[in-house]
Amino acid sequence: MIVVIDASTFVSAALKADSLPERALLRAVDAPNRLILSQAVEDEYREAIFRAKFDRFVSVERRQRILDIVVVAAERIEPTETVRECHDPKDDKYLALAAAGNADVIVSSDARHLLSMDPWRDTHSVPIELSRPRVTAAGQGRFRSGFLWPRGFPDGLEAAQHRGLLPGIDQGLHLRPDLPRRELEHQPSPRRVLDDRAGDRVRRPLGQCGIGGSTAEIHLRGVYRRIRLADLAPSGTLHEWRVVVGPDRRSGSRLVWRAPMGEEDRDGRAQLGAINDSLGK
Amino acid sequence: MDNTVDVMIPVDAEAAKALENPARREAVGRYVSSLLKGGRARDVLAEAIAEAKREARAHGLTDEEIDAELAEWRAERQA
Repeated sequence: MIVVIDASTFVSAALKADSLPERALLRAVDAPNRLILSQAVEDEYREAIFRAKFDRFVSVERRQRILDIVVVAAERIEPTETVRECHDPKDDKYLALAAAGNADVIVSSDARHLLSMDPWRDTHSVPIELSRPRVTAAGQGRFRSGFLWPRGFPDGLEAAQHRGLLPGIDQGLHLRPDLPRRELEHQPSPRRVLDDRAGDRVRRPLGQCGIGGSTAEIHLRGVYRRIRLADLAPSGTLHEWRVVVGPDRRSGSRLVWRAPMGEEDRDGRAQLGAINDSLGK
Repeated sequence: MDNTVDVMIPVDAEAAKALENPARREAVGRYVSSLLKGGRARDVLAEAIAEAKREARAHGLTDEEIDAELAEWRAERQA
């Protein structure tokens, strides 16, 4: 798939904790996908990521490195056709690049302009954000939380995965046929083990974890734990999932599964907490 | 390396000194070739992004601030 990514998505990929834009960017530079870039689009990436506001948070060198890698990884296309079709003329550069490079898709977070033009010629524009999770009571104190539902993909989830714009079945999101309406199961990609006994709190990628339905299933170094989401202790900051899995058979140290909590998760978990509160749990 | 072509790449003085060694030039050439062929770019980019995000979080940059700044940039861009 040939991909164009707009500047907002590029900056979000580089800086935002939410990893969805990052995943889209990483997939775009990963064969067989091809990210294409024109000088005009590169200039816009540069303008956006070097905003003075970001100077006190991330060094210029780190941002320059990201831009350099993207410039190296992307295929350079210089449009010869002038396009004047976007509601925002400043976005015409993306359309021109897409047309010149026969792009399959433009990844954008701009709902007002590029996304409203979908489909344009043979190119689809897709949003990088996912819809809010639905949190519904399933009776008897069992709740569903953490589901992600794709929005704006004209051909549905499988097409989006096939295009490489959403993680595939082996990369975090997969369909569970036993769930109604083919809901997505959210399986956070980070697989971190926190060894509490280590003085320097070493993190190592050692396990698998998944959240779906009303339970989280966690496999860490031969230890398996299944836990109801409703039983997860509320986090004060709601920044991460955290589950004590149990002692590590080999080292005896305590294994704690942690994963960053995305916005969707935070909302879902907060809603779940509100439901629990309302039921007096 | 087979099928190699010499090209000129601007580098800083320190790097130029390091590249006086032919073996290092060949190694750099192989590295750049592999980067451009794909595969490695994803990993290198992922690492660079992770570093930037760590720094951003450590200095207190939030997603809301990024969204606000991007909205301001878009507004200035349209003006």
